[in-house]
Amino acid sequence: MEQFVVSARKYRPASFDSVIGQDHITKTLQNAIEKNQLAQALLFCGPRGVGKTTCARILAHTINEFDQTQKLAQSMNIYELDAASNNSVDDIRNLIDQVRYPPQYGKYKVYIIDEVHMLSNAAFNAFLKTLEEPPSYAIFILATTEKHKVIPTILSRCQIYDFNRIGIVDMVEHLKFVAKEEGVTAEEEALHLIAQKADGALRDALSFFDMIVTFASDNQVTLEATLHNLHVLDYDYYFKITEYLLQENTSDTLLTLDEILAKGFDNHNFINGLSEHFRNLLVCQDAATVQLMEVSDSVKQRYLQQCQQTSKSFLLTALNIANQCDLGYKSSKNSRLHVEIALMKIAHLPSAIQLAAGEPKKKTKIPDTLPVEPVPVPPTPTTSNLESDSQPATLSSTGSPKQDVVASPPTAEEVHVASAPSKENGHQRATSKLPDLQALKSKVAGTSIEAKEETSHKPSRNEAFTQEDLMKYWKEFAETRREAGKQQEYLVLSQKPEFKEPDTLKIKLNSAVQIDTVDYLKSDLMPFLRDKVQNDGIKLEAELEIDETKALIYTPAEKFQYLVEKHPPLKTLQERLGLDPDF
Amino acid sequence: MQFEDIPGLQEVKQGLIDAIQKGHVAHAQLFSGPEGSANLALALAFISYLNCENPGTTDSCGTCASCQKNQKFIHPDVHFVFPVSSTTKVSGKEVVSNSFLKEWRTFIEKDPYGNLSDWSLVFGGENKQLNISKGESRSIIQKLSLKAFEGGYKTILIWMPEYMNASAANGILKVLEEPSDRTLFLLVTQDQERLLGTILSRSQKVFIRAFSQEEITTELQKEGVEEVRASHSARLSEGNLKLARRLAGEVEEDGATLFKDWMRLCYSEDYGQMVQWADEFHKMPKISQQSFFRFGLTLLRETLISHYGDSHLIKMPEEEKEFVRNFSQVVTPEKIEPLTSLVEEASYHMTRNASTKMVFLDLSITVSRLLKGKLNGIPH
Ligand SMILES: [Zn+2]
Repeated sequence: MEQFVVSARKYRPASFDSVIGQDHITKTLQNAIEKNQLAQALLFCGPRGVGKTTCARILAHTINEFDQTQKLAQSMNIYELDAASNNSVDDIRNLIDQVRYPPQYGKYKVYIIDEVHMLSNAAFNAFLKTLEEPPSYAIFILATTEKHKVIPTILSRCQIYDFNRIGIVDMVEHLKFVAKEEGVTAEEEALHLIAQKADGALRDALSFFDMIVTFASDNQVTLEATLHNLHVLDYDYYFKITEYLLQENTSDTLLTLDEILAKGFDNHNFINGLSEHFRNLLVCQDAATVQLMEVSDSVKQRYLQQCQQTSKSFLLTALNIANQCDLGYKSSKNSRLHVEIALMKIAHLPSAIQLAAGEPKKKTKIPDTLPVEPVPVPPTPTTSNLESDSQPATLSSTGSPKQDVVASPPTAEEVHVASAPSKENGHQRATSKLPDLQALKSKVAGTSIEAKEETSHKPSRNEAFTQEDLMKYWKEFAETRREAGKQQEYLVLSQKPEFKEPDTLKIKLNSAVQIDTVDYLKSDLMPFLRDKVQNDGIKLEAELEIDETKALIYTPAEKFQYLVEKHPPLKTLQERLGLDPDF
Repeated sequence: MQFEDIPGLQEVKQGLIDAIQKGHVAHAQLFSGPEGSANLALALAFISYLNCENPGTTDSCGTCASCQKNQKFIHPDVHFVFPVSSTTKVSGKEVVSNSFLKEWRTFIEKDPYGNLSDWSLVFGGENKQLNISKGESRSIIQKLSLKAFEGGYKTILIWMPEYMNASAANGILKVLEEPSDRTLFLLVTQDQERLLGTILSRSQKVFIRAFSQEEITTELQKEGVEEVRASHSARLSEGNLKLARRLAGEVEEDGATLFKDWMRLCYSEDYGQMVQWADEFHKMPKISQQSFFRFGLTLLRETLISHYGDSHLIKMPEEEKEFVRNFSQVVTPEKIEPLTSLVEEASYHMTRNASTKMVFLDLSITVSRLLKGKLNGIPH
């Protein structure tokens, strides 16, 4: 059986011209060679699999070819040292010893030291002197993926070349070339997906390509096979699930998850993919950022379509939930339940958001009823221009949560009363005051009632009133609360609302809890005010004033998440030691 | 190990065999699958097939000289590297895979679906941190410098490369990328996210899915577990065959019944009983306590699903459906999330050696208040 050679090796470029995606480097190097200005110590750094070692080898060959020496001589003049497995002082001393002898053939002795960040400190130091005053015939090319681990005294002695991640387009082109050489027919979408998953590293892309060819039938690289072998869930599923979530169709959402799991995908994989999908939708919301999406055009179109139906607040909140789910995933004992709960929460978002949007003409969207821990507001500066108000309305009309709207009226008493399970019907009733979903549901019910109210009062009153009057009655109502001993409610109401012509009161609040309180008081407050001034047109808007500093980091889990973003290894630390972000 | 020794996973096996028959054997492959999956078993079967002198269309022959050696894991061209730690007998420079080969063979023969702590028990690691040290990467390079004894592939199987320390991992980068001819690296991981990007990038991935519930049920029944118990254990195991076997083997009182009784107790708000329960619970073996919680979570999940009217998503016996129906009357979807966190948290604290009595009593009271709607969210 003939030995199979992986594409990354088989198609390793042999000349500068065939190096992919590093023009700025190859040109500079070629120029330097032509003008005889090549430094004696070069440092190639950049991410994995982008051509550092390859360029080092080409450079080594090129400078010796100028001397027209024989192939044999070339190989004798090029020394490759793997610093990762030869990182001791002795290894470096051996190398230094060799450097002292001039080349037998040709002009240069080229030393390629790969993974140079792995040299021990002592080895680095032993190497310094040679690097500082190398003999004229010696050229050192150091390569590393981790520049920050190379000591500054070495860095300062080298000419530094920063290699780029390889762009998707370049990668797809190269994959096409390899496919052609290998006699493989490949679908464009498939190559695109491979390039995307390779995350800037050409070697990864080639290794994915090999894998797919390995498991493909008839040398065909189809999108389907690629999705399967790369273990990537088809976009379709994410589009479908997002649609269900927007319709608050929990049942089909969960069924789809089941379908996905049955295909051998794991929960964790899925929730991260869903986050990615939400992120893409978010990116789509702004024409300026659409180009950040690394997907093929046809898929981009689908994203653009779906993003029309999603609001920024939905996406941000959903992302937040998905994120929490990801963070807690490893420690959960029933990962499926963990993911299902997250999905259920997301499926309840649209009505929560729609409620928060409240009356029309409102600028600020309040994701106040986030069914997430006490982390309600995603730390974003997106308080303005969140979306057009008409969207949520159209959504809810197609898919309001069936079982909830029918629930009993959300008067304060009802909501607080703890009652035995309702046996009379299959619907869930508001039985306890839990912070998240419960609050949310009572509000769902709340709107339906208010809506009813408005229609039932057909001959609506429309007397003229003054702003002063309105403020006076507001105070009066607040007093009734104080007398009733509802200090918390009084406190919220004692914040003076602004009056906006013609008939709207606007109150600015600084926490989701206060928003909840106002929402809950509305059912008493509004009839009270409307009766007093004999005008049914009066509206109340509650707005969450996001205090940036407050919104940023709040819970220990958030603090931890923030730290993880800055220092990703922390997450590994947490997982390996089974640590808890709480104190 | 042959393919036929591994339950289910038909399509995965066929893919691997096709790859070999096509001659597409990449020199570095990463068998990536979750805990309790067949990633190690498949890698071993893959090696057997590759080395077999008369391979068939679906499996190695199992009788040729090479197969016989592979059955005992003593093929001279197959090398194993795995995480180890010092023991009472082995310490210092001796702490490398080669010192534990005998134990390793026992382990992979009896328990190829086990995890790191199972392995640690086999060789007597005594809860010490396991890793693959730098010395190991040197010995890999050394092993590779030898010629293959039998003229076929020289294979290095690295189990759990995520436990290589940084210098060990960096140390094999070169050989992993450009090994000498007819060398094969099989990396078998449970957590590929923890591998160095430079390692990932040099290996061809083979994703091994978890076992399906059906595959596990069938396998357990084959092993003599009766049907109800088999499907029950499969349901709780989330595709982890090792865990499913353990669950099926538990003789203690059924976690299911216990959990249901406990839920009824919480709903009744009988605090005196709760104190007694906490005492009883404290006396139960750790493993039964954990299975109590595991079952509880499964039940909560089923309840959640039942609210959305999808019997298709729940695979449980009839009498349990009845319970779930009643239970879901009390436990509305919005209660399931806090309940889940409470149960998870309590179970977690108990694995961290918190006082079982205290944690359990606290849990009972909190759950009781939650069920009765007397609780505003979860106390922190
Ligand atoms: Zn055989």
